[in-house]
Amino acid sequence: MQMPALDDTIIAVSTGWRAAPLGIVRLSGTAAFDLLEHIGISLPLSDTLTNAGWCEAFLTLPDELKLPATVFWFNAPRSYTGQNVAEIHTVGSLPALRALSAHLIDSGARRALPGEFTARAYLNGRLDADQVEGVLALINAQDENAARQAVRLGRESYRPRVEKLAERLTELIALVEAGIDFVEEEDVRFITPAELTHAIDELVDEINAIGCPGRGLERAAQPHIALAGLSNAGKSTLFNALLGYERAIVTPVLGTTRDVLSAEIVLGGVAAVLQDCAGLGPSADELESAAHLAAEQAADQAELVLWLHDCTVDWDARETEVCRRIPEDRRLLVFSKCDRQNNHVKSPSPIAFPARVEISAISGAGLPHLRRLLAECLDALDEPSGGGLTAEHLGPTLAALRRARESASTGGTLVMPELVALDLRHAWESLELLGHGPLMEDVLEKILSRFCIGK
Amino acid sequence: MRFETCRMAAGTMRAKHYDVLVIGGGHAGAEAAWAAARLGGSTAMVTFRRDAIGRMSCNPAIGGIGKGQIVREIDALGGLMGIVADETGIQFRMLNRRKGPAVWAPRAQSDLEDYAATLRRYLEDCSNLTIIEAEVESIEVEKLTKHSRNSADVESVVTGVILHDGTRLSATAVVVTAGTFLNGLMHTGDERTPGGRIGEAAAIALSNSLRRLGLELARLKTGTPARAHRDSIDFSRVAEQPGDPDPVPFSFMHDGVTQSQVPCWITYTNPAVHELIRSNLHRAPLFTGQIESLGPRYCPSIETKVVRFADKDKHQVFLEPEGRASERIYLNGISTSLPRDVQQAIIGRIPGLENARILQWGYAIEYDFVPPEQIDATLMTKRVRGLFLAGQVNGTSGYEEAAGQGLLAGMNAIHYCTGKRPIILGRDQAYVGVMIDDLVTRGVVEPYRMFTSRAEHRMYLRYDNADARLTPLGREVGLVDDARWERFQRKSRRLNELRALLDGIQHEGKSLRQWLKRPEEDGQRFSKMYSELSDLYRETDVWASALVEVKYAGYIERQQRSLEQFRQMEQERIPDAFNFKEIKHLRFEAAERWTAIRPHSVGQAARVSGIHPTDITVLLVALARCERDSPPV
Repeated sequence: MQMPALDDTIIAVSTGWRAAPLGIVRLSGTAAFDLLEHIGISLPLSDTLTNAGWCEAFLTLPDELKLPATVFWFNAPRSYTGQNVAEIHTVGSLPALRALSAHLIDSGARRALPGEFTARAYLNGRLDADQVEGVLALINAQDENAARQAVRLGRESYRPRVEKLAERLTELIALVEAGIDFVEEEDVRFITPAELTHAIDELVDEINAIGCPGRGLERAAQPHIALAGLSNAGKSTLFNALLGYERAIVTPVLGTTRDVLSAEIVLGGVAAVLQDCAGLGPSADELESAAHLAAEQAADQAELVLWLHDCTVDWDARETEVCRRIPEDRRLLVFSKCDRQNNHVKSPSPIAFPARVEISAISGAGLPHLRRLLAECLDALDEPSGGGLTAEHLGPTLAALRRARESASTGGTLVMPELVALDLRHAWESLELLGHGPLMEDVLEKILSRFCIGK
Repeated sequence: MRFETCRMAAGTMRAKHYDVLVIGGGHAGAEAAWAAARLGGSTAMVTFRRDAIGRMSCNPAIGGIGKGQIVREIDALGGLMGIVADETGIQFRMLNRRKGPAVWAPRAQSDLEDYAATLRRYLEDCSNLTIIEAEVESIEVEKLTKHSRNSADVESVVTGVILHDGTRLSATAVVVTAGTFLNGLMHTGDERTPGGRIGEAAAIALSNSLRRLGLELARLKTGTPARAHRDSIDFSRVAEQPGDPDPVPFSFMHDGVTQSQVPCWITYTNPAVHELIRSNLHRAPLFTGQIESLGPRYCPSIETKVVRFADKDKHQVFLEPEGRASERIYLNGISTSLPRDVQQAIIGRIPGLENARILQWGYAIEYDFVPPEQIDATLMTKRVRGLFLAGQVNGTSGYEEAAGQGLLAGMNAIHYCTGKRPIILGRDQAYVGVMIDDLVTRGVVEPYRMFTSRAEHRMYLRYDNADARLTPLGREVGLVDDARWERFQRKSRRLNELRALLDGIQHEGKSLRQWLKRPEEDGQRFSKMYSELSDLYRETDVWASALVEVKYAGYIERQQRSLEQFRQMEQERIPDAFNFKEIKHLRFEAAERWTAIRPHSVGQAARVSGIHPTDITVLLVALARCERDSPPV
């Protein structure tokens, strides 16, 4: 597990949930100002003696990439976190921000964990006791956001490839460690430097092949809004109405939407992903139950769930059951088909929703109100500062593998596998596999299943 | 009198009172009793049989990779194992010598009887230590009222033991080092014999007593091979394995090994042997369901090897003499619980052993242990104050692992008596620290053995610098005597001299330090060229330490940073009575896990399984808040 330290330099990027012209990268820690030098900004010594300041400059990144930026800096202890803090305001382009953060991480910064900036602020006495409740709640919420984002990323092709990479790395570590801890065993043969460098080269190729994140990954990083409800509640009609074009096939047949449809939507300047889920209800055939599963997953992993209820029918006990599973602050109740019912909703829902809206997708009534409400909800969401993985996070992994290769190829008679092992371990740790057990348990398992150990 | 508790006991009961009472005389018990007595506590060791103290139940060897480093650490702290192993060793080898010095590890074959006798003599000659031959019937405690507890887990405090004959011994601290004796049950074929070791009784009452104290017990399994008569082996058919030409001792107190060395031998099993085993699996307790508990995966029986690695057509069998003149040869590699007739047939098909006369049959043993989440990092149980557990009772395997825990338990038992701050060894400080942290933080599923790969700071936890890591601590505690302290200081001086020479001597235009940076260079040739180096080269510890510093220079610097980060988190202490369930916004799972394990530092909390990085952030904030709300008095 990646351990939060208290004074190393952490970095967080406001990646483009918002279609904003400005992107902000924040650094906090002892080396925050030194790291600026890696992007071609040196603060004049006289400036760093004062409390805070700003300058305009061009950031220099690898591959001769140059970005205009305004850099604000705040000296410890008079900053948000109580440590040296630098804020880089630059163009809001996602690839540019990614290149910038990747380069700073390569230069020694560590990606901040959810809530870590705020935690440091509290630990350094920059927030008072009254604010601590809020701090803890925020950390928790960011962790949840990050976890949801991570799960969504998992469905993209990227994450399985990282898992595979981790698996191969673990196998290689097992081969190296076996040669250290079990030399006396009959069939343990220390991996040769040639085999070792070859295996490392393969891993490097694999990382390079993972390459740039596609559109799908960017989407996974955006907040998700799921439309859920019983079959035929009008989810697809609302989906189309919100998007303004016929994306989903709308028919009055129960259970028409069998898969999760998603599309990008911009609400109040925030880009989000709208998902139309299959109707939840008793599943008849296999295909339908698979669709239900996908819908449940989508609802579980969305920042916001719009629960649609056909106002012409009674509230169903199954709806109560499903809605209870969605945390209260993430669910909104929408009564649909209000054009068909002059009076009001037939029966109120037995569970609480923070907000409810009545709409008619056909007449358009209630839709502007719903849009405004959604925009407000999105605006209130905290962006996760840690969590999800993207390709540029593999920079430190590559660097560690390069060091391992160097140790492995310095031949001679006195081979030092322990040095190779150290760098391979760093490579594994840099993959930041959330929810993974300790590496050595896996390594031992692999050694013992591969070699007959035991005198 | 130093020990407050002695006064108290004298007034309250008539029974003989000890500061520390150690149950068991194995490798853990010996170190625990030695440490407690040497630190000035009146100590008693209660064991079934005086003549079985320090007996090696399994292979006649000390050390090995990971384990050898532990022996050096025990020695650096002032324990017994390294000294006794040196005095009674009959073959010494430095393993991994062709790799970097961080993973060098000493190992020695021991004269088994000599080892036990020598260890016993040290204990018998030790003042403050009484050896009592008896069986412990029960551990006595005093229940604490809710009011007098200082932590939610503590239920009672230890007051002594009652022996089988009814005698009551009062004690401030009790250390249980019962090894495989707790409810031990031995298996050879369908023959089942209660006992802790071949020919010795099991401790059944003690096991029940631990359970009555509220401790949860579980079972593990281990095994041992047959021993054959030396005269019945055809040595012309096996290959000889000599020791190192320049044997290196375990103890920092010894300059070298003076005794002559004896060889071991190696032979192999073959397809005929494997076929025989396969056709008799219906009689193997490990496969019939007769043995239910889990054994170590890294130390499988021959029947398990044959089944799991069916494609292999041979397995090694090391022939290890149990002593310089012993007639008993330990058949290392074919541990088994198959019936005797099958064992005889198997062994008879191995080259060199065709006519082997078996002096002792192989057997498997199942025994009770106390899943170690129930103790804290000082080895004291969380439920019963003053009750310490060390060795196999904590789910470990191996003499060295047991001895390391025994030494620490002995020291902490004394600190408990005197009210001094308990000693916790860190993962950055010693393999013993890595082991104990693993045990108490993660528990065990199979008998725990040390591997160097378990240590994240392996570059720093080396065999050569165990003294630099631990001797100052041993001195502070009081276990390191003047002679050892002087030697340690002398070594530090010599190391400085060598460092100066490596920079000072120029060879072909480059300093020796620069030469030694080359991977293939171990410096031996320079020791012959420059006379001022020749003595230093012979001081193995000094030479190795300097070599390591040169070779690992860049890496040690890099590790230093992660070491500092690690220490920062270890130093963030969590108060004993801290209530994890009261931390708002902490994930339910994290609160549950931490309440069960009761980590003593933020670092340990992070190592508990199933913890997210954000849980740690939440914990740090909650701890800071707790500190701000209630400033230290």
